[in-house]
Amino acid sequence: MAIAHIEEELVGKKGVVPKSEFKEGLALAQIMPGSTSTSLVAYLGYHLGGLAGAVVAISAFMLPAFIIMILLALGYLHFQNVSFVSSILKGLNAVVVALIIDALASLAKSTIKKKREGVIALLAFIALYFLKADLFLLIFLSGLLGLVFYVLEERG
Amino acid sequence: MKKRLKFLIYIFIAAVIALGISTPLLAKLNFAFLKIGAIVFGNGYTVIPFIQKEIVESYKWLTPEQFAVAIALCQVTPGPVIILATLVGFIAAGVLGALFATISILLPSAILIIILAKQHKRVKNLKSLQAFFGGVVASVIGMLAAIALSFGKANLVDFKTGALFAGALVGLVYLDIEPIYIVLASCIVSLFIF
Repeated sequence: MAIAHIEEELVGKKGVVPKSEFKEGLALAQIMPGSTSTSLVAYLGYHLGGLAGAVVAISAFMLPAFIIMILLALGYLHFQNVSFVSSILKGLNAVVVALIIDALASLAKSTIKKKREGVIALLAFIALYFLKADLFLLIFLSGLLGLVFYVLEERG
Repeated sequence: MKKRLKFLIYIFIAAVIALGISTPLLAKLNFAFLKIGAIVFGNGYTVIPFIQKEIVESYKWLTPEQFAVAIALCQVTPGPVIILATLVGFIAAGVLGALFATISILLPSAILIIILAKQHKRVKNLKSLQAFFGGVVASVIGMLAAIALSFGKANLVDFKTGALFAGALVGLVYLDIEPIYIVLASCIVSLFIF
């Protein structure tokens, strides 16, 4: 959603970014580590105003959420022991399980296109849930496995 | 003029780094989020297993209950899930902690994309990078499943919590309702049933 907004503002209305530049930035932002929207904003900021442009763009992009989050956190820390708030929190603890499942479902929909991604996901589940494997090692090995599958496929 | 400006920018960066490692807590916070910042993908959900492991289990800056609330609050806040860093930083070390945690989680990917923005026309072999990161994101799906399972075991303890979970899941996955409305609705329902 944010990405459609960015395109509308910068490519459509203001016309400060050429469509081709936007597309290249988006492709790069999707592939590389980083949340797609913030990476895209950093890329476009850099394109428009160099390093300073990137810093300004990313700060401005994050500022509203930053302020809202601090206010929410203040409210939470202040009121967490009030009885009606603690009943809300009890409910949130249950709902969060659904939120995580929703996140993994949408991630799976966009990522698992072939059997190999499903295999990696299953292995990661086993490694974390039953073997309590180290996460960063797990990430690295999964990436490597993705690469191996790709190379094998290319060779036929 | 330009040289002077550059010099000032370097001084500023040095000052920020100095402030960032000025207390052991801030230094640890920054180190943790720089690490986590390198594995953010897509909408940022990939950070959830890492925050659970590093921040909740190792550093204990958040209790498991606070972590659950944090995930819910992220849904109420605009923007990507990396805003979790702001909340963790704030709870661990106040406003300064929030600021540094946010910068740290953004920094690795921002630096990477700026470097590539300069020369990505030369980066020919994007396909194999894509395959590598595809594997990374796939593994995060498995990790999220592991977390959902252990969270479910800990949090879904009776009929009421189970029913709330089931309702939220149907709304999110089948009816495709925005998470923020699910969170708000569940707050109201919780007031009556707990």
